[in-house]
Amino acid sequence: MKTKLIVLTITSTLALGSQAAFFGTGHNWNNGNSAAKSAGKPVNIAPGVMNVAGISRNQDNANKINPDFARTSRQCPPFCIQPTNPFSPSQVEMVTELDVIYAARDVAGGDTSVLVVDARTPGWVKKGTIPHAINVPYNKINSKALVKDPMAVIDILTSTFDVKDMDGVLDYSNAKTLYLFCNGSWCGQSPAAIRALLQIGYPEEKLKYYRGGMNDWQSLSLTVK
Amino acid sequence: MKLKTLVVSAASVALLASTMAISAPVGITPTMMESGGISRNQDNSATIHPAFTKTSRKCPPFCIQPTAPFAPAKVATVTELDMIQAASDIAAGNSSVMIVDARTPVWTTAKRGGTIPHAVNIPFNKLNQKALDKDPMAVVDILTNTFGVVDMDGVLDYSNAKTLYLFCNGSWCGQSPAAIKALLKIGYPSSKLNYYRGGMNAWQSLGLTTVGK
Repeated sequence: MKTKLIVLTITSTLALGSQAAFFGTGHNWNNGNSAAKSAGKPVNIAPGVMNVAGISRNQDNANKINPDFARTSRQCPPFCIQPTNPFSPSQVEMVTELDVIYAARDVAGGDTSVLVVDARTPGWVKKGTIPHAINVPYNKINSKALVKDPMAVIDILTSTFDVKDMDGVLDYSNAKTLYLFCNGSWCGQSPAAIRALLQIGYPEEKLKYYRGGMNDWQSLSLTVK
Repeated sequence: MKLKTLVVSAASVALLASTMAISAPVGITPTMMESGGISRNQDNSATIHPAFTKTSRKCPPFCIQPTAPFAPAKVATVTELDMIQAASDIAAGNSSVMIVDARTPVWTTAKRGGTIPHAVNIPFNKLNQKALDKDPMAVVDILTNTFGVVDMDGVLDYSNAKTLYLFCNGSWCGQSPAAIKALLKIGYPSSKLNYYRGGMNAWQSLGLTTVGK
Protein backbone atom coordinates (compact mmCIF):
# COMPACT_ATOMS: atom_id res chain seq x y z
CA MET A 1 0.00 0.00 0.00
CA LYS A 2 2.70 2.40 0.96
CA THR A 3 4.78 1.42 -2.06
CA LYS A 4 1.81 1.99 -4.31
CA LEU A 5 1.34 5.44 -2.89
CA ILE A 6 4.96 6.34 -3.51
CA VAL A 7 4.71 5.10 -7.09
CA LEU A 8 1.61 7.21 -7.60
CA THR A 9 3.36 10.27 -6.23
CA ILE A 10 6.35 9.75 -8.48
CA THR A 11 4.08 9.30 -11.48
CA SER A 12 2.21 12.51 -10.81
CA THR A 13 5.45 14.39 -10.22
CA LEU A 14 6.70 13.19 -13.59
CA ALA A 15 3.44 14.19 -15.25
CA LEU A 16 3.65 17.59 -13.63
CA GLY A 17 7.25 17.96 -14.70
CA SER A 18 6.46 17.19 -18.30
CA GLN A 19 3.55 19.62 -18.27
CA ALA A 20 5.65 22.31 -16.76
CA ALA A 21 8.30 21.77 -19.39
CA PHE A 22 5.69 21.85 -22.11
CA PHE A 23 3.97 25.03 -21.01
CA GLY A 24 7.22 26.66 -20.06
CA THR A 25 8.68 26.48 -23.56
CA GLY A 26 5.77 26.47 -25.97
CA HIS A 27 7.68 25.72 -29.14
CA ASN A 28 7.60 23.28 -32.02
CA TRP A 29 8.82 19.89 -30.96
CA ASN A 30 11.52 18.27 -32.93
CA ASN A 31 9.87 14.89 -33.06
CA GLY A 32 6.15 15.41 -32.74
CA ASN A 33 5.05 12.75 -30.27
CA SER A 34 7.77 12.85 -27.67
CA ALA A 35 6.44 15.72 -25.58
CA ALA A 36 3.90 13.57 -23.80
CA LYS A 37 6.62 11.16 -22.66
CA SER A 38 8.85 13.88 -21.27
CA ALA A 39 10.78 12.81 -18.22
CA GLY A 40 10.68 16.38 -17.09
CA LYS A 41 14.31 17.27 -16.44
CA PRO A 42 14.84 20.51 -18.31
CA VAL A 43 17.02 20.35 -21.42
CA ASN A 44 18.32 23.86 -21.88
CA ILE A 45 20.45 25.19 -24.71
CA ALA A 46 22.87 26.68 -22.21
CA PRO A 47 22.44 27.08 -18.43
CA GLY A 48 19.40 29.32 -17.97
CA VAL A 49 18.68 29.55 -21.70
CA MET A 50 15.67 27.45 -22.71
CA ASN A 51 14.43 29.12 -25.87
CA VAL A 52 15.96 31.55 -28.34
CA ALA A 53 13.81 32.86 -31.20
CA GLY A 54 11.63 29.75 -31.19
CA ILE A 55 14.62 27.41 -31.03
CA SER A 56 14.86 24.99 -28.13
CA ARG A 57 15.68 21.34 -27.51
CA ASN A 58 13.40 18.32 -27.36
CA GLN A 59 12.44 18.00 -23.68
CA ASP A 60 11.98 14.22 -23.66
CA ASN A 61 15.06 12.98 -21.81
CA ALA A 62 14.69 9.60 -23.54
CA ASN A 63 14.45 11.01 -27.06
CA LYS A 64 16.76 9.52 -29.71
CA ILE A 65 18.30 11.05 -32.78
CA ASN A 66 16.23 11.32 -35.96
CA PRO A 67 16.99 8.08 -37.89
CA ASP A 68 17.98 10.08 -40.98
CA PHE A 69 20.98 11.27 -38.99
CA ALA A 70 21.91 8.00 -37.25
CA ARG A 71 23.80 6.66 -40.26
CA THR A 72 27.56 6.53 -39.85
CA SER A 73 28.93 5.17 -43.12
CA ARG A 74 27.80 6.83 -46.29
CA GLN A 75 30.37 6.25 -49.00
CA CYS A 76 33.40 8.55 -49.14
CA PRO A 77 33.94 10.06 -51.59
CA PRO A 78 31.73 12.02 -51.72
CA PHE A 79 30.65 11.90 -48.04
CA CYS A 80 34.10 12.49 -46.54
CA ILE A 81 35.11 14.02 -43.23
CA GLN A 82 35.61 17.74 -43.72
CA PRO A 83 38.79 19.35 -42.36
CA THR A 84 38.64 21.85 -39.51
CA ASN A 85 39.32 24.65 -41.97
CA PRO A 86 38.60 23.55 -45.54
CA PHE A 87 39.25 27.08 -46.81
CA SER A 88 42.79 27.63 -45.62
CA PRO A 89 44.58 29.99 -46.12
CA SER A 90 41.29 31.95 -46.14
CA GLN A 91 40.20 32.61 -42.59
CA VAL A 92 36.59 31.50 -42.71
CA GLU A 93 35.47 31.05 -39.14
CA MET A 94 34.11 27.66 -38.09
CA VAL A 95 31.08 28.19 -35.86
CA THR A 96 28.90 25.98 -33.71
CA GLU A 97 25.29 25.72 -32.57
CA LEU A 98 25.35 28.70 -30.23
CA ASP A 99 26.61 31.02 -32.98
CA VAL A 100 23.96 29.77 -35.40
CA ILE A 101 21.21 30.10 -32.77
CA TYR A 102 22.21 33.71 -32.12
CA ALA A 103 22.35 34.42 -35.86
CA ALA A 104 18.84 32.96 -36.22
CA ARG A 105 17.71 35.17 -33.33
CA ASP A 106 19.15 38.23 -35.09
CA VAL A 107 17.38 37.31 -38.33
CA ALA A 108 14.12 36.81 -36.44
CA GLY A 109 14.64 40.19 -34.77
CA GLY A 110 14.85 41.96 -38.12
CA ASP A 111 18.64 42.23 -38.49
CA THR A 112 19.09 42.20 -42.28
CA SER A 113 22.90 42.08 -42.13
CA VAL A 114 22.87 38.37 -41.21
CA LEU A 115 21.58 35.31 -43.06
CA VAL A 116 21.52 31.62 -42.14
CA VAL A 117 21.92 29.68 -45.40
CA ASP A 118 20.92 26.05 -45.80
CA ALA A 119 23.10 25.03 -48.75
CA ARG A 120 21.46 21.64 -49.25
CA THR A 121 19.26 20.59 -52.12
CA PRO A 122 15.52 21.22 -51.52
CA GLY A 123 14.70 17.54 -50.90
CA TRP A 124 16.79 17.62 -47.72
CA VAL A 125 15.41 20.98 -46.64
CA LYS A 126 11.89 19.61 -46.84
CA LYS A 127 12.81 17.05 -44.15
CA GLY A 128 13.58 19.86 -41.76
CA THR A 129 15.93 22.78 -41.46
CA ILE A 130 17.09 25.39 -38.95
CA PRO A 131 14.42 27.98 -38.12
CA HIS A 132 14.94 31.31 -39.92
CA ALA A 133 17.32 29.72 -42.46
CA ILE A 134 16.80 30.29 -46.17
CA ASN A 135 17.61 27.64 -48.76
CA VAL A 136 20.22 28.46 -51.40
CA PRO A 137 21.23 25.06 -52.82
CA TYR A 138 25.01 24.69 -53.14
CA ASN A 139 24.73 23.78 -56.82
CA LYS A 140 23.44 27.27 -57.56
CA ILE A 141 26.53 28.94 -56.10
CA ASN A 142 29.40 26.44 -56.46
CA SER A 143 32.28 26.61 -58.93
CA LYS A 144 30.33 24.60 -61.53
CA ALA A 145 27.53 27.16 -61.36
CA LEU A 146 30.11 29.95 -61.68
CA VAL A 147 31.55 28.40 -64.84
CA LYS A 148 28.19 27.61 -66.38
CA ASP A 149 26.32 30.81 -65.70
CA PRO A 150 28.16 33.41 -63.61
CA MET A 151 25.34 35.92 -64.06
CA ALA A 152 22.92 33.56 -62.34
CA VAL A 153 25.30 33.41 -59.36
CA ILE A 154 25.64 37.18 -59.33
CA ASP A 155 21.85 37.45 -59.38
CA ILE A 156 21.75 35.46 -56.12
CA LEU A 157 24.48 37.65 -54.64
CA THR A 158 22.66 40.87 -55.47
CA SER A 159 19.09 39.77 -54.84
CA THR A 160 19.65 37.69 -51.69
CA PHE A 161 23.02 38.56 -50.12
CA ASP A 162 22.84 42.38 -50.64
CA VAL A 163 25.93 42.57 -52.83
CA LYS A 164 25.80 45.55 -55.22
CA ASP A 165 26.64 45.22 -58.88
CA MET A 166 28.32 48.55 -59.77
CA ASP A 167 28.48 48.26 -63.54
CA GLY A 168 30.12 44.86 -63.37
CA VAL A 169 32.18 45.49 -60.24
CA LEU A 170 30.76 43.77 -57.17
CA ASP A 171 30.56 45.92 -54.06
CA TYR A 172 30.50 43.85 -50.86
CA SER A 173 30.43 46.71 -48.37
CA ASN A 174 26.80 45.97 -47.39
CA ALA A 175 26.92 42.25 -48.10
CA LYS A 176 25.26 40.09 -45.49
CA THR A 177 27.23 37.92 -43.08
CA LEU A 178 26.36 34.36 -44.07
CA TYR A 179 26.18 31.33 -41.78
CA LEU A 180 26.31 28.36 -44.16
CA PHE A 181 25.61 24.74 -43.34
CA CYS A 182 24.64 21.45 -44.92
CA ASN A 183 24.27 17.95 -43.44
CA GLY A 184 27.31 18.01 -41.19
CA SER A 185 30.95 17.07 -40.91
CA TRP A 186 30.51 14.47 -43.69
CA CYS A 187 28.98 16.95 -46.12
CA GLY A 188 30.92 18.93 -48.72
CA GLN A 189 28.04 21.02 -50.05
CA SER A 190 28.32 24.15 -47.92
CA PRO A 191 32.16 24.05 -48.16
CA ALA A 192 31.80 23.97 -51.97
CA ALA A 193 29.49 26.98 -51.83
CA ILE A 194 31.87 28.86 -49.53
CA ARG A 195 34.84 28.15 -51.82
CA ALA A 196 33.00 29.55 -54.83
CA LEU A 197 31.89 32.60 -52.85
CA LEU A 198 35.50 33.24 -51.84
CA GLN A 199 36.55 32.83 -55.46
CA ILE A 200 34.08 35.43 -56.65
CA GLY A 201 35.32 37.86 -53.98
CA TYR A 202 32.96 37.48 -51.02
CA PRO A 203 34.87 38.78 -47.97
CA GLU A 204 36.03 35.89 -45.77
CA GLU A 205 35.05 37.70 -42.57
CA LYS A 206 31.44 37.66 -43.82
CA LEU A 207 31.43 33.90 -44.27
CA LYS A 208 30.88 31.44 -41.39
CA TYR A 209 30.97 27.66 -41.67
CA TYR A 210 28.70 25.62 -39.40
CA ARG A 211 30.57 22.34 -39.88
CA GLY A 212 28.39 20.34 -37.49
CA GLY A 213 25.39 21.09 -39.69
CA MET A 214 22.06 19.29 -39.51
CA ASN A 215 23.67 16.17 -38.03
CA ASP A 216 24.87 17.98 -34.91
CA TRP A 217 21.70 20.07 -34.82
CA GLN A 218 19.63 16.87 -34.79
CA SER A 219 21.93 15.14 -32.32
CA LEU A 220 21.20 17.98 -29.88
CA SER A 221 17.48 17.77 -30.76
CA LEU A 222 17.29 21.46 -31.58
CA THR A 223 14.09 22.73 -33.19
CA VAL A 224 13.67 22.07 -36.90
CA LYS A 225 11.03 23.46 -39.16
CA MET B 1 2.92 -17.86 -61.31
CA LYS B 2 4.01 -14.86 -63.27
CA LEU B 3 3.41 -12.68 -60.24
CA LYS B 4 5.56 -14.98 -58.14
CA THR B 5 8.44 -14.73 -60.61
CA LEU B 6 8.08 -10.98 -60.57
CA VAL B 7 8.21 -10.93 -56.78
CA VAL B 8 11.26 -13.17 -56.75
CA SER B 9 13.07 -11.04 -59.28
CA ALA B 10 12.16 -7.88 -57.38
CA ALA B 11 13.58 -9.50 -54.28
CA SER B 12 16.82 -10.41 -56.02
CA VAL B 13 17.15 -6.88 -57.40
CA ALA B 14 16.67 -5.56 -53.89
CA LEU B 15 19.27 -8.01 -52.60
CA LEU B 16 21.68 -6.99 -55.34
CA ALA B 17 21.12 -3.33 -54.54
CA SER B 18 21.80 -3.88 -50.86
CA THR B 19 24.95 -5.90 -51.63
CA MET B 20 26.16 -3.08 -53.83
CA ALA B 21 25.45 -0.49 -51.19
CA ILE B 22 27.52 -2.36 -48.64
CA SER B 23 30.52 -2.41 -50.92
CA ALA B 24 30.81 1.35 -51.46
CA PRO B 25 34.04 2.37 -49.71
CA VAL B 26 33.84 4.71 -46.73
CA GLY B 27 37.04 6.71 -46.65
CA ILE B 28 38.20 9.20 -44.05
CA THR B 29 39.04 11.69 -46.81
CA PRO B 30 38.92 11.14 -50.59
CA THR B 31 42.53 9.91 -50.47
CA MET B 32 42.76 8.26 -47.03
CA MET B 33 41.12 4.99 -46.03
CA GLU B 34 43.15 4.38 -42.89
CA SER B 35 45.61 6.18 -40.67
CA GLY B 36 47.21 5.16 -37.37
CA GLY B 37 44.95 2.08 -37.25
CA ILE B 38 41.85 4.24 -37.58
CA SER B 39 39.29 3.79 -40.32
CA ARG B 40 35.52 4.01 -40.72
CA ASN B 41 32.88 1.33 -40.44
CA GLN B 42 32.53 0.02 -44.01
CA ASP B 43 28.92 -1.11 -43.69
CA ASN B 44 26.99 1.56 -45.57
CA SER B 45 23.86 0.81 -43.58
CA ALA B 46 25.52 1.06 -40.15
CA THR B 47 23.92 3.34 -37.60
CA ILE B 48 25.46 5.15 -34.64
CA HIS B 49 26.40 3.23 -31.46
CA PRO B 50 23.34 3.05 -29.17
CA ALA B 51 25.20 4.88 -26.39
CA PHE B 52 25.21 7.98 -28.61
CA THR B 53 21.65 8.16 -29.93
CA LYS B 54 20.28 10.18 -27.03
CA THR B 55 19.56 13.81 -27.84
CA SER B 56 18.13 15.26 -24.67
CA ARG B 57 20.14 14.72 -21.53
CA LYS B 58 19.27 17.37 -18.99
CA CYS B 59 21.03 20.72 -19.17
CA PRO B 60 22.60 21.70 -16.89
CA PRO B 61 24.91 19.83 -16.76
CA PHE B 62 24.75 18.50 -20.34
CA CYS B 63 24.66 21.88 -22.07
CA ILE B 64 25.81 22.86 -25.54
CA GLN B 65 29.42 23.99 -25.30
CA PRO B 66 30.46 27.25 -26.96
CA THR B 67 32.77 27.16 -29.97
CA ALA B 68 35.69 28.27 -27.81
CA PRO B 69 34.85 27.95 -24.13
CA PHE B 70 38.28 29.26 -23.11
CA ALA B 71 38.28 32.76 -24.55
CA PRO B 72 40.35 34.87 -24.29
CA ALA B 73 42.83 31.94 -24.08
CA LYS B 74 43.48 30.69 -27.60
CA VAL B 75 42.90 26.95 -27.32
CA ALA B 76 42.34 25.51 -30.80
CA THR B 77 39.04 23.72 -31.39
CA VAL B 78 39.99 20.73 -33.52
CA THR B 79 38.10 18.07 -35.46
CA GLU B 80 38.40 14.39 -36.42
CA LEU B 81 41.17 14.86 -38.96
CA ASP B 82 43.38 16.56 -36.37
CA MET B 83 42.67 13.75 -33.90
CA ILE B 84 43.48 11.09 -36.50
CA GLN B 85 46.73 12.90 -37.30
CA ALA B 86 47.62 13.04 -33.61
CA ALA B 87 46.82 9.32 -33.21
CA SER B 88 49.03 8.51 -36.22
CA ASP B 89 51.84 10.58 -34.73
CA ILE B 90 51.55 8.71 -31.43
CA ALA B 91 51.42 5.35 -33.23
CA ALA B 92 54.62 6.35 -35.03
CA GLY B 93 56.38 7.02 -31.73
CA ASN B 94 55.99 10.78 -31.41
CA SER B 95 56.03 11.36 -27.64
CA SER B 96 55.39 15.12 -27.83
CA VAL B 97 51.69 14.55 -28.52
CA MET B 98 49.02 12.96 -26.34
CA ILE B 99 45.33 12.26 -26.79
CA VAL B 100 43.49 12.57 -23.49
CA ASP B 101 40.11 10.99 -22.92
CA ALA B 102 38.91 13.16 -20.03
CA ARG B 103 35.84 11.05 -19.24
CA THR B 104 35.31 8.89 -16.20
CA PRO B 105 36.57 5.32 -16.84
CA VAL B 106 33.11 3.74 -17.21
CA TRP B 107 32.56 5.69 -20.43
CA THR B 108 35.64 4.19 -22.05
CA THR B 109 34.33 0.60 -21.89
CA ALA B 110 33.26 -1.24 -25.05
CA LYS B 111 29.68 -1.28 -23.84
CA ARG B 112 29.60 2.52 -23.81
CA GLY B 113 31.30 2.69 -27.18
CA GLY B 114 34.98 2.57 -26.23
CA THR B 115 37.47 5.34 -26.87
CA ILE B 116 39.75 6.74 -29.58
CA PRO B 117 42.75 4.51 -30.40
CA HIS B 118 45.99 5.67 -28.70
CA ALA B 119 44.09 7.86 -26.21
CA VAL B 120 44.99 7.75 -22.52
CA ASN B 121 42.26 8.10 -19.95
CA ILE B 122 42.73 10.89 -17.43
CA PRO B 123 39.35 11.55 -15.86
CA PHE B 124 38.42 15.25 -15.75
CA ASN B 125 37.84 15.07 -12.00
CA LYS B 126 41.57 14.47 -11.47
CA LEU B 127 42.42 17.65 -13.37
CA ASN B 128 39.61 20.09 -12.77
CA GLN B 129 39.26 23.07 -10.45
CA LYS B 130 37.97 20.92 -7.61
CA ALA B 131 41.02 18.65 -7.85
CA LEU B 132 43.28 21.72 -7.84
CA ASP B 133 41.58 23.07 -4.71
CA LYS B 134 41.62 19.74 -2.94
CA ASP B 135 45.08 18.41 -3.72
CA PRO B 136 47.18 20.53 -6.10
CA MET B 137 50.17 18.21 -5.70
CA ALA B 138 48.17 15.30 -7.11
CA VAL B 139 47.45 17.41 -10.20
CA VAL B 140 51.12 18.40 -10.47
CA ASP B 141 51.98 14.70 -10.25
CA ILE B 142 49.88 14.01 -13.34
CA LEU B 143 51.51 16.92 -15.13
CA THR B 144 55.03 15.71 -14.38
CA ASN B 145 54.42 11.96 -14.71
CA THR B 146 52.21 11.97 -17.77
CA PHE B 147 52.39 15.30 -19.63
CA GLY B 148 56.17 15.87 -19.61
CA VAL B 149 56.05 18.97 -17.41
CA VAL B 150 59.19 19.40 -15.24
CA ASP B 151 58.89 20.53 -11.62
CA MET B 152 61.92 22.82 -10.98
CA ASP B 153 61.80 23.18 -7.22
CA GLY B 154 58.17 24.19 -7.28
CA VAL B 155 58.25 26.13 -10.55
CA LEU B 156 56.63 24.23 -13.40
CA ASP B 157 58.62 24.19 -16.62
CA TYR B 158 56.41 23.58 -19.65
CA SER B 159 59.10 23.78 -22.33
CA ASN B 160 58.93 20.02 -22.99
CA ALA B 161 55.28 19.60 -22.08
CA LYS B 162 53.28 17.46 -24.46
CA THR B 163 50.72 18.91 -26.84
CA LEU B 164 47.40 17.59 -25.56
CA TYR B 165 44.27 16.77 -27.55
CA LEU B 166 41.45 16.57 -25.01
CA PHE B 167 37.97 15.25 -25.55
CA CYS B 168 34.94 13.90 -23.71
CA ASN B 169 31.49 12.87 -24.96
CA GLY B 170 30.93 15.73 -27.35
CA SER B 171 29.38 19.12 -27.77
CA TRP B 172 27.04 18.46 -24.83
CA CYS B 173 29.87 17.50 -22.48
CA GLY B 174 31.66 19.89 -20.15
CA GLN B 175 34.25 17.48 -18.77
CA SER B 176 37.17 18.12 -21.11
CA PRO B 177 36.45 21.89 -21.09
CA ALA B 178 36.64 21.76 -17.27
CA ALA B 179 40.00 19.98 -17.46
CA ILE B 180 41.33 22.47 -20.02
CA LYS B 181 40.21 25.42 -17.89
CA ALA B 182 42.10 24.05 -14.89
CA LEU B 183 45.19 23.30 -16.98
CA LEU B 184 45.20 26.88 -18.26
CA LYS B 185 44.89 28.12 -14.72
CA ILE B 186 47.88 26.16 -13.54
CA GLY B 187 49.93 27.57 -16.41
CA TYR B 188 49.74 25.00 -19.21
CA PRO B 189 50.47 26.93 -22.44
CA SER B 190 47.30 27.43 -24.54
CA SER B 191 49.35 26.64 -27.64
CA LYS B 192 49.80 23.10 -26.31
CA LEU B 193 46.11 22.51 -25.62
CA ASN B 194 43.58 21.38 -28.23
CA TYR B 195 39.87 20.84 -27.70
CA TYR B 196 38.08 18.17 -29.72
CA ARG B 197 34.58 19.54 -29.17
CA GLY B 198 32.83 16.91 -31.30
CA GLY B 199 34.20 14.23 -28.96
CA MET B 200 32.97 10.64 -28.86
CA ASN B 201 29.55 11.62 -30.21
CA ALA B 202 30.98 13.04 -33.44
CA TRP B 203 33.55 10.21 -33.59
CA GLN B 204 30.81 7.59 -33.32
CA SER B 205 28.56 9.42 -35.74
CA LEU B 206 31.26 9.03 -38.39
CA GLY B 207 31.74 5.32 -37.65
CA LEU B 208 35.41 5.77 -36.75
CA THR B 209 37.43 3.01 -35.08
CA THR B 210 37.17 2.69 -31.31
CA VAL B 211 38.94 0.53 -28.76
CA GLY B 212 37.68 -0.63 -25.38
CA LYS B 213 37.24 -3.59 -23.10
